[in-house]
Amino acid sequence: MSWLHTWGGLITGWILFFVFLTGTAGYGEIELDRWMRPEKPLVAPEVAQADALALGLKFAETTIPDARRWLLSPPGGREQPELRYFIEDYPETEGGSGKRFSGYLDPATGEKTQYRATGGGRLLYRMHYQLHYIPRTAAAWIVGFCAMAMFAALVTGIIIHARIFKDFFTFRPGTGHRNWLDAHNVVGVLSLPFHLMITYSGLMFLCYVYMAPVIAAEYGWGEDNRRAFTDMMFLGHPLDRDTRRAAPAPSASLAPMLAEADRLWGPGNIGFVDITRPGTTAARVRIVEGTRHVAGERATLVFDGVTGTVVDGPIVNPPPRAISKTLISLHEGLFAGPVLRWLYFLAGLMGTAMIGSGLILWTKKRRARLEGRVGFSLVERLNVATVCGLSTAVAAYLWANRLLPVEMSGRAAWEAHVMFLVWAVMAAHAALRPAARAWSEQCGIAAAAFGLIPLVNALTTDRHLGASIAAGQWDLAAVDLTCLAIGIGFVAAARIAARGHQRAVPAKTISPTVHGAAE
Amino acid sequence: MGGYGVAYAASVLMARGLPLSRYEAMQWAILASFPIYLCVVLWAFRARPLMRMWKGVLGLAGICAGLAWWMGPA
Repeated sequence: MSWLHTWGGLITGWILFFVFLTGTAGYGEIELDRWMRPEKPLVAPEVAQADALALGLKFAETTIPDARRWLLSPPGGREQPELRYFIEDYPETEGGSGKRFSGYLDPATGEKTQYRATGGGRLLYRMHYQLHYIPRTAAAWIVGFCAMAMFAALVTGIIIHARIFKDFFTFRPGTGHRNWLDAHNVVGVLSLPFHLMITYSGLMFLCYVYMAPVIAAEYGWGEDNRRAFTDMMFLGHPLDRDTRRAAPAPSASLAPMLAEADRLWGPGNIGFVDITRPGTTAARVRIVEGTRHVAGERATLVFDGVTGTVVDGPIVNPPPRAISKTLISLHEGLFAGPVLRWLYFLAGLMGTAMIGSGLILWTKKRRARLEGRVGFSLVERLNVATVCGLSTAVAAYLWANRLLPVEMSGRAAWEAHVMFLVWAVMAAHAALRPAARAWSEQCGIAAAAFGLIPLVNALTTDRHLGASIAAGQWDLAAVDLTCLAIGIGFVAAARIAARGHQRAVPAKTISPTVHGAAE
Repeated sequence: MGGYGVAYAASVLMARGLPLSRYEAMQWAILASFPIYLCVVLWAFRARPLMRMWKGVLGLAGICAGLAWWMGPA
């Protein structure tokens, strides 16, 4: 058990650290998105959803009247701070997917808004299951393998620490590797339910990749058969994927449909309006509630796009689906209000810290025995490059968002390139410097990278702390303040690492046998 | 690998064997597949003699797959 925990954790730890760090950032996806588009108005204008949607519909009708799908998200709630559109063309070949267009409109005027090109918080969020630069399916398998190892590491961790309650209250500072062990246990146990939930539910998200043969055994292989299962699992009903053009027909007015949604769910509670095959006899208007729920579905209304009458499309929700749906909502945490969202973020950070401390613990326990071996220094250096280097790279992603020229072509892609270039430089630094020095130096670099973000923001935009706090825009200020807090955290880490470096020098003079006995 | 085999075979067996609708049985099977995989992995790392582990894993996978095959596609 212990063996599995140690070695399974080690070989997957670096990728898991990446997954947890970017996934944790993903809990602030919407806030980061907003921060990374400083052209957005500081205070969004108040526009009624129905008015904004009418403008959105006009935009869709004039730009691509012959589309298979118009999807419009009105302003309102945390997720849609403005009017968003997503338009999908009819595919050129039957069964394929059509061209897709998406962007933002000013909810008051219906004009297309121009924001800087950026991957936003969404890109960080996507990285936690798609990684970057590699095909999605390959990434899914890598992340899935690591998630399974994480699952095993969690359960074996619990088995190893049979005295979990007593161990939890044990902290032995300044005792070499034991304080790392205690720290590893505290962050592990404190949010253990979160870790178990996030790992299991994470596997459920991509179950159709990992357990494809199981689904195929009953449904048959192929995309359509797979979707017969996943549409039920994720949506609760088969999705209309018909891409044939139906006969043209006049459209029913959207306003009464929106009024009906307002009547049922309260005003301003529309999540999005999804119109498939508009302007044809097959047109359907699906309106989905804005509020997210922990368990169960967002309420949905489906209208016939020609007659404007409600089409009954009951959602099937048998017990196993309710379980998997709840797991998925718990994983995404989209239902969470501000307080719970912060808890999610903290639990994610603790998960990241658990993985990081586990990686460090591996080296602390083996230093006396293995120091000088190639494998040992590889692990040690990868640890520095991952824990400090990747953190710095995430900060660099935010720096790039502010410093790359706004008109630059391929700007959004370059933001990510900067992130990975910085990571590569940090890895090279970790490889070239003595490990103990690398720790304290990189903690210092990470501290500066995060701590200076509010300053960089203030110098390059007028969306700095002075403006955002004064306007009461706390979700915007939270990005700056969180970066500052992380920076301060790294200052503390740099001091601990510097002390550890000083201690490491005399420790080497002790003979290995004495050190080994202390293990 | 062995664990995946068992998880696969046991899940297919569940999807076929449970007296529920096709979707419902499959969803239970998928929910169960990861914990099954986990249990097999944990057990495999406990079983000392390597041969016994292989016998256990392959045997279990064989029994499940055999039963599932015998039931045939629903």
